[in-house]
Amino acid sequence: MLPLDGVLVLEIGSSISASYCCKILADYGANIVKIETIDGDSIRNEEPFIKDSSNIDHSTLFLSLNTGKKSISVNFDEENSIDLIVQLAQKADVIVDGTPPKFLEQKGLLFSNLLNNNTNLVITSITPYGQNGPNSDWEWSQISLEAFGGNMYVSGDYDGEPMSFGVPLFQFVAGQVALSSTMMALLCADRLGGQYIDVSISEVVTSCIPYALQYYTYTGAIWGRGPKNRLLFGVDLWPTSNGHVGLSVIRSTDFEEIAAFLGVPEMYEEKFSTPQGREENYEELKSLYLNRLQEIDKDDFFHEAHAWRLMASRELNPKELLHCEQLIEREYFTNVDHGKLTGLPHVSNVLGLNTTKGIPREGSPSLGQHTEDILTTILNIDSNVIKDMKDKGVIK
Amino acid sequence: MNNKPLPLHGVRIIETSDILALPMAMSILGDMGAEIIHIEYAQRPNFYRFLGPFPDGDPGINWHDRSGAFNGSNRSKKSFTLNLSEDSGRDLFKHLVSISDVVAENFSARVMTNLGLNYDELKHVKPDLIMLSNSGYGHSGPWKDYVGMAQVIEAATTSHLTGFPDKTPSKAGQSIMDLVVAWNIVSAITMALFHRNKTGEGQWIDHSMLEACTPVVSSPLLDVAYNDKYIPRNGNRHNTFAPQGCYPCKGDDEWFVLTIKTNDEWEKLCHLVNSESLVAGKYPNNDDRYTNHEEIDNHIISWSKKLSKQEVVEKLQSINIAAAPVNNSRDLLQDKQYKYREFFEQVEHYEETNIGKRVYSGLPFNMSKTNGYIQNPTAPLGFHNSYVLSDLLGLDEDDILDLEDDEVVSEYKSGTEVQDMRVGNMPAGYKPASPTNQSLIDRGDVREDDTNYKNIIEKF
Repeated sequence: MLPLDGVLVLEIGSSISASYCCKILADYGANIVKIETIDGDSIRNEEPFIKDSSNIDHSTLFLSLNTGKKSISVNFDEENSIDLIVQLAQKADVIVDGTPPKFLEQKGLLFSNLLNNNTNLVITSITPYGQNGPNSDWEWSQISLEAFGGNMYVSGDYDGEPMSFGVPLFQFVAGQVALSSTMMALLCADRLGGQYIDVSISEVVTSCIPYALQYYTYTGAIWGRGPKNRLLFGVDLWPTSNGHVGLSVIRSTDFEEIAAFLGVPEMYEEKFSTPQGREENYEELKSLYLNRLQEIDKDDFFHEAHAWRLMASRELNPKELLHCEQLIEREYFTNVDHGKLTGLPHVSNVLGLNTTKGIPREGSPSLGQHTEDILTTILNIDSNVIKDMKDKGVIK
Repeated sequence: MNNKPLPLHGVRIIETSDILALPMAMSILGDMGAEIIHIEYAQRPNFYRFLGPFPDGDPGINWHDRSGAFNGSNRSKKSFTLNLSEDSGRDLFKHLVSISDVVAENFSARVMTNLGLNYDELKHVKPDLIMLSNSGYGHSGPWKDYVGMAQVIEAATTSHLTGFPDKTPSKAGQSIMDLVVAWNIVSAITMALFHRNKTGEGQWIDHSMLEACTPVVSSPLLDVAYNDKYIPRNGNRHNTFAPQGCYPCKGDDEWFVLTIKTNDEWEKLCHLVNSESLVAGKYPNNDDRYTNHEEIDNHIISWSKKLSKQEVVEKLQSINIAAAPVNNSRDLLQDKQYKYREFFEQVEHYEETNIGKRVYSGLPFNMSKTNGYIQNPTAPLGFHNSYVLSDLLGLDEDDILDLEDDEVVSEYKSGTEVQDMRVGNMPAGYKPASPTNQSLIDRGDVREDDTNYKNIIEKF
């Protein structure tokens, strides 16, 4: 038995955050009805694509975010479609809403009505700046939220422009926040009834940089993109013969261990023995370190450094990560079929639960794949009525 | 404190942790009403206690209670000092587990087993216990004994895709993966609690930082699995749309970003910039704009450099173009959107810490019935010893004195007594380094020393 067996969740909107939240809910047993527009979730059209044997494009992002869900496609401009959503909401435990603020309201779906009709319902909305406030209707992009939330100001080189992640990291974190807050609301729904949750992605970004904020509120220092000299033994990565690695000095004795591990006698010299000395002799130390790294294989480096109990980093590209022996040994990737695309690797048991493991069971749905199934099994609608709605373009 | 209902009221969690990810997760659960008993031993404290920043640059004699890095991730908890290397310390731990719901720890894989406190042992004490063990790579597999921190996990997942094409793989921001891990932990614990409430079944959560963060790159993983390729790192540019970038504005280190997604937006941008060289007709479609990205960037810069970032963004948002200022910490604390939503919370610290009022990020979500908030500022080390030992465990004063004499519990000290306290391996009277703001500016970590900051945080 999985934690969320018997929990019905409606997912609405084209949103990485809402989709990721619901993907994890699906892995742990929830029944997810993904309500799409007639044109479908716009993430279906996002590059890169995989082509199946009939030459149909499948977005890798969409495939990865929607395993184990059922898709129903409705026309949001038709009153009858909105009525279907209202009926589904009466049966649901949770709605995860990734539409822009006021979008559903304008379509006639009022959250207050849905909550009145189903007193234990939990509705979780995820929007760029939250449901209210002067920026709630701002246009946005992934990079604009990273910039606004403060992460870009502290990312990048000292003398370079602020830098974004390049991957939609914060959309995923907002999905985790939506998942966490939804679970909290479910935990108290029997006791206190359902409620409405308003997740702001820009606030998610800001809550991810506590150190920079605390520096200001404790000392007035505005933390930037530093230091001027990239850290030799900190978070930065440096080139080896075949990729990039890093070593960190955390404890006061770590540098001596690093010098011993690298086997560079010059690094034992007195002038490098203190953090201050290493900073004063930065260029010399850098050249000793980088010359040594050029002789080293990044994989050997990583494993041997761990044998020395050093804090070692190794850059992995997506291919290397997919073949990571640790993830394979722990059966982290599960192969899932998506129609004609078979055996695609998907992450599984992301939360690490040992008894009730959350594993994706089915592929991502094609648009409207389950429309009839959902209307028949959840709403008991007659097949003739369904046919009529299809003919009239209410559903697809 | 008020009496508003919170989702996790009645849930007690025992935490033994270090650094950032697990402590932050526990603070979030504490904000939502769980009682967090944070166990540390004074001689083996959290590394973040040494890190600073210290209030107004002064560590003080009670520096271990004054680090901003520590206080930012340990609010809404009770602090209890217990030495787990002593038999009687472990007995007290088990007693505490028997009256709790969750244990959360982030020792390396072998530690809890060596202490006789792993899940198999503890479930005898509390059959429906939920126990979360957070580690870099999980407690099984060839890397189970490897140490992992946020930066190591970032290198293994996103770094290859972060940064500029002509530069090395990069890390973005500060320990972001710790926050990804923290939220994953919150989800894992609430999921396990939901299951336990329904079935009566507890479980062990073998939580791996790498496995929590890998989903962020699940799309590139599918791309490489099936197409044997992936989109390489691309700086601040969008992989499909052009232009997108981060551009300088008037002033020192002032920037904004924008993304143009449609031809219509492009036309509006050209009209706004109103330059003879940047006309919509020149590059009417996205592919042309992508090919000539650099030329377009230069035109945008010559326009934006004459305006403040607020002016630029206001103009762009007024014509519905996705743009935002690159905010620094001061901008964020003064931002109207955050003020409207009361995102930041001002906290008056415990008097004995002499920290006064400080401001912290609140939770990034609002709940209509059970909104979470900071339940109490970070407690001084050992502040709740007597609550845990006498109120929860029922020990009398003599028992407690014995435990202190035997160094099983470190005595809570306040005022000038703190001077005699040994924290970590440091001698009594030790003070950690606290670099001045000017030295941090010289080093390049800090851009500006704002001497007016106290007015901003006091006014909250």
